[in-house]
Amino acid sequence: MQAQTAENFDKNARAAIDDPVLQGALQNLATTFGTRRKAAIATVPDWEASRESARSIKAEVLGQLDEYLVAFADNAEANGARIHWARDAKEACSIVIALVKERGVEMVVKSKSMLTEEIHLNAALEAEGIEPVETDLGEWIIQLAGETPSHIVVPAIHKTKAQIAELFAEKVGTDREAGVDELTATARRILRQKFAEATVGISGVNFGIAESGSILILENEGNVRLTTSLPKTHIAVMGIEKLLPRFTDLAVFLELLPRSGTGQRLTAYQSIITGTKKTESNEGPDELHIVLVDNGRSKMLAHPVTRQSLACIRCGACLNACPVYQSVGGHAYGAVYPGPIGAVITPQLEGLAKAKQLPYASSLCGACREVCPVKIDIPELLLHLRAEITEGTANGVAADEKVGRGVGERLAFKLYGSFWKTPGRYRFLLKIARATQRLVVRDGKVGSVSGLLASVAPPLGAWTAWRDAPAVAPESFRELWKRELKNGGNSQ
Amino acid sequence: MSARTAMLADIRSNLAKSAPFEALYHHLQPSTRLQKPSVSNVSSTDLADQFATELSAVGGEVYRSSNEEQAIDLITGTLGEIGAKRVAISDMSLRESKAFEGIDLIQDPSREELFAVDAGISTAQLAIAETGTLVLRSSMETHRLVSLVPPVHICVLNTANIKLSMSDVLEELSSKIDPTITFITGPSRTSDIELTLAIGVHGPKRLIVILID
Repeated sequence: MQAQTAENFDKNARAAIDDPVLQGALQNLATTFGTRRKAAIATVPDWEASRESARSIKAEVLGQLDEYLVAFADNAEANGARIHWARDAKEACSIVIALVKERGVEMVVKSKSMLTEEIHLNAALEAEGIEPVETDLGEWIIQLAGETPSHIVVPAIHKTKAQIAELFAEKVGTDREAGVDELTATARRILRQKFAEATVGISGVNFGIAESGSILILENEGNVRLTTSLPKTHIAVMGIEKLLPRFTDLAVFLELLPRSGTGQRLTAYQSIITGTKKTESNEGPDELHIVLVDNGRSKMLAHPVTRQSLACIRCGACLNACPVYQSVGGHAYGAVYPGPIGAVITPQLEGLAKAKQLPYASSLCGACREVCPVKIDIPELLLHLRAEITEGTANGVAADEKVGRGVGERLAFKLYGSFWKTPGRYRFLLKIARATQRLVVRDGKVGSVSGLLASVAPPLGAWTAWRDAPAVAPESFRELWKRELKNGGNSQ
Repeated sequence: MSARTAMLADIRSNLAKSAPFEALYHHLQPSTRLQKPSVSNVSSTDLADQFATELSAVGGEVYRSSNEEQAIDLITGTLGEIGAKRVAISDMSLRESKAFEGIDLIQDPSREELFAVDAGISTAQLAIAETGTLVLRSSMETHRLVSLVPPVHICVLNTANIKLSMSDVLEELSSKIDPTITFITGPSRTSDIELTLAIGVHGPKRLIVILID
């Protein structure tokens, strides 16, 4: 699974569809989270108004992101936190590594954070001889297995209980027949020893509050609370898009996020951390470092369509609702962020050239847009990226890249357009089609183009491999109508 | 140029390139604020009932008492029931109560003690009825770990401090934001293995709330 890259989405997807174990897990995900989400949003008096409120709050922040970031940084520092600025993944990793090294430790505990996956922090720490210990159960499982998350919320969703029991038996010596409770208890026991030793804890951030410099982290397990309260030093890695203007704005986001993500009305724990402790008697870290990471985000501000990508609160609802994700799972996307939101974020973060298949990994059915708690128009974004792939745009994601299907596709569609626009040419084309279609028609349908024709025109083969079209009728309706009129219209 | 200066400059130049967001999203309004129903017409008994129902639904246990003495009786009863020998207590005022005499409570536990105790007792300063959520403020409850590390968390809550919604609680907290605010809704849980619920993965396996009316 490790070798999967975004460049090979088509091949990855086919392999995933043929994997019965993965298919079972994905079915479970769609039904469980889908049903729970529906029940949970029914408890909100006006779900649509909440979505609209969240969307407009995010639009407000993103429209003045520079000002809100400055306010956040100033307020967090006034409360005792240290703010670090990182332009890219490399800079972010260097900052964290320097902080860990200054404290002379060789092991750090980590709570789940998609951003640390994005910047590949674990690999960077390991390269410096620092052991990062993932403490979220799902993240720990995939760390033991040497894999990557396949879902934003439930990272080990692609693994069965039997596979996990096998993994634990091999790595930590539990019974091969161990059940979920025993596996969970084992994780608790082993990770508690790590927590007891750790002096540096690394977490992500769900929301940052500009007016107070606070950060909020949601979780269910308690490992975030342990990571952020036991060690002497807490390092929080935060994307610059995570801001909300006001403390009370949290209400609507706490209403939307857990319901959309896991179908819970609220997750078991939320921690709001505002700077460092104020008195010696307080438990909790002595130091709080917040690393603000751009890593390609500010570029998304440059167009109103791509800017929406930064409103994402990483709930995972679009993954659970997507017929493509449900069929192929997360690893097929070959990127840190899978599913519909991954298909729009990955090409923007890593470049269209690397991920140009992903905007096409969608039927544009719109299920993602419907469930998105912050109303991101993902289909619109996918179309926008597809347009950039074929056309390129001056200020767009593809500005500095050589992508595009090139002159050929543009020419083909121009030609197509010119024939379809004029009745005469259209009829002429139909005549040609009727005369030549017997080469490709089987059982009254234009089936897959193969053999000679496919080899002279490869795009035709790609187009028809999965699509049937009815053959052109021997006589069109208009021709039939004319003939019938001539015959006096009484043959039938 | 510092990273901060460079990042802010990047953000500004990219924002300047963009067509106005509002032109595309014409229905954009300046931050719609949701109006939540007012708390004033809901009695604290109703709120306590709702709190108990919601917390029970997510696996918490709720006991009612009408004064501190009764509450301490319930706590000692619970400690007996779970066979707790070593118990940590936070710096709540209740710990000075005479009713606790005879129980060996560990005050200001060290890290080692915390990992070895059978239960932790704390208070909550606020609560949310709609979701069965406890709110612990670090300015008043300085022991963050007593409610987290032990396998059983016993929490004392005055029903007068139960608010209806998250909005009401955030409103109250926003006037003076504590260094750490912890929201607790039920025992620690995970669904990371085949989406099967398991309780007590990292935090307490049991959450027992003693309400004082």
